[in-house]
Amino acid sequence: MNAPFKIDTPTTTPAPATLVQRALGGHAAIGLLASALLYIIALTGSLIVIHDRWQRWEQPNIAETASLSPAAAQAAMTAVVAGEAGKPRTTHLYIRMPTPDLPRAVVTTDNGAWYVDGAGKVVGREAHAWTEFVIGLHEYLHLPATLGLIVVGAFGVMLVGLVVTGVLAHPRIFRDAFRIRTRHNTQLARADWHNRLGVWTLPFVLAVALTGAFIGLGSVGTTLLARAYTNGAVEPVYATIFGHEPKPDAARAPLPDLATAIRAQATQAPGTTPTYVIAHDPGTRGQHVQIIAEHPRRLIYGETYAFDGRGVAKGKVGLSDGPIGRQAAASAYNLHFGNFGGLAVELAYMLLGLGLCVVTATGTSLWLEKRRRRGLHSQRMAACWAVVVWGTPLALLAALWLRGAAGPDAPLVGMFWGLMAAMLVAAIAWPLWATAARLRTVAAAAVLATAAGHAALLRPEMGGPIAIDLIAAVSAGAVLWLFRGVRTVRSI
Amino acid sequence: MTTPVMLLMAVAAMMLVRFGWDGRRGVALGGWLIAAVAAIGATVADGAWGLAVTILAGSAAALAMLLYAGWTSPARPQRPARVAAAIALPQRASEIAARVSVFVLVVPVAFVAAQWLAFGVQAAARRAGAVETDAVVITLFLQPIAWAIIIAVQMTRAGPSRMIAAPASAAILGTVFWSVG
Repeated sequence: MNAPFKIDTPTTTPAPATLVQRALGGHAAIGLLASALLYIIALTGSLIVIHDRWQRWEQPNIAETASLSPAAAQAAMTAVVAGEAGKPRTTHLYIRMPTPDLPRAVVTTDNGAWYVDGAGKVVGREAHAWTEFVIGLHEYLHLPATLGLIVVGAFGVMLVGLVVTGVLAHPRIFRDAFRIRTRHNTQLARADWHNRLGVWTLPFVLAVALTGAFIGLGSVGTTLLARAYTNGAVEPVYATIFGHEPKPDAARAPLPDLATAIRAQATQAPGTTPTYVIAHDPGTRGQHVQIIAEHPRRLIYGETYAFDGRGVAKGKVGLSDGPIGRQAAASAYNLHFGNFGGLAVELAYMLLGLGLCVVTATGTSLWLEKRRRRGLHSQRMAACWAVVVWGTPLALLAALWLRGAAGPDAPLVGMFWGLMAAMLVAAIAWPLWATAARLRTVAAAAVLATAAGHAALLRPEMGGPIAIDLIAAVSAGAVLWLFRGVRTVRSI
Repeated sequence: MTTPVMLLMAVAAMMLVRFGWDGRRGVALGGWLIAAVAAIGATVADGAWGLAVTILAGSAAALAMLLYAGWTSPARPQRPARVAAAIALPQRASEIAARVSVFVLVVPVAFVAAQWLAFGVQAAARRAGAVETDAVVITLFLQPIAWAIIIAVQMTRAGPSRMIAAPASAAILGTVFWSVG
């Protein structure tokens, strides 16, 4: 006998989503849209905090000097200009002064860049192509520069949006502040790492995201102001912050007197440290000199001191003591790059940056695992995400090995993006191949091999590059040991 | 007091916050108060640089304690609740259209609204006597901040139609500022 069924129909409508639920949904939406490129930006950003030290690591066998005297700077400029006879005359000549991070002097013109020794003699070509490749990936994702800066700046704003929605979606933020269940279920551990690291890196993430957005999106605002106030000319708008340049005069003249300018700057501003000596339009009557000098215990990247072609002081821009807006703008760069407190601050930035990488990586992994547990698992999506997280460092290392094998002019950008695309295609075609566990092991082994290979093949003799090799090898070994025997496809 | 002392205070403050997290709320509150004093003291001593290094020291101390907590976390067979993901992939054309409209509202529309707000504020600042440098920097700094706030408001709304108000309000505010004076 078939008894009639009584079918209960719901008589109540679902409760509207709470602010916490809406914030979590919004947080997830932004995260899914932006996480892959955000992760790449965060990882490369963490690496290039110590870009000067990477430069030294990449080319370890260059003669070094702790300082460059005024006479040597003059000699360096003269030598480089003489070496460029027959090439188009450079419009700018930069001398990067030696610093503790990079105890080398570099002369850069429109035609190339050269290391010079303590006497100002050219000793080699500046060819840290891999370091510059990583910087370019972080700053503009290898897009055309202005567009790329805007895109990366927009990602900075997305990151701030993630921070705010993440906090709103986290009502137990204080109660759970130090609760971290690393040895529970993988998903619980993942959630705790995501939330705890997200909270404790918050001040750092806000600072780097907003300063990065200011730097990246600045061209848009500047263009708008130019159209409103200066008939479309952007140089006068930039000049309100960075100073005006004298009118050019292309008539030929002897090279500027850098030595006098450097000595004058030292007298004018004792206690400051010149980082760049810049000759504008060298060898012309309209030439002039700028010296950028660091001020101790300041966030500004430096003050710009102006001199004419004879080295006579013509004042300063006022980045150190001018209008508050100028000081704030000049401070954004160091606050973003983490070079305002020596190695200690750089290491803190690297660790906090790696924390951000973990937050970004675990966010999407959390979402994928929640779907899997509800029966919506996509092996392909999981494989693609594993490629993003562990394939990015692999592709960075592949570019490094290409640079080592084929020289600084090798196509590193094409190699990186081509390899990433190939790995993603492979992940879609063979998702069981691209597990997080396997790719993590390969990436860690590749770091270990690279550190060992660098030490064996280039034989650095300076402490900095040796330390990088050691730390990389130990870290990779620690990862391999910590995750030994982990075979699940469901780890990050 | 000098910034190095403030750095040590920031580290000690975070240790107090950690110690008080186990239930001694007064201790945790004291830790936060000391952290605030350290931040203010470092700012008075060394301006933005002092504030930056002090916050960095406190963050590093908190992270170190967090990593230690993770290292010593006991193993427990606890399983997470099976909850739905906070966002689902769109399946139907209407869902895809909704996602596209959200993207348009949150990215280009909100971007332009924030830019216009920043431009309006700098125009008002100029009329109020601000030097040109400060007016330019207001534009450049305010745009990403305003855009991020608009995004945060939009992404906590229930649907695309309710995401229009935030950029619209920013645009209206920008117009008001631009026309003031």
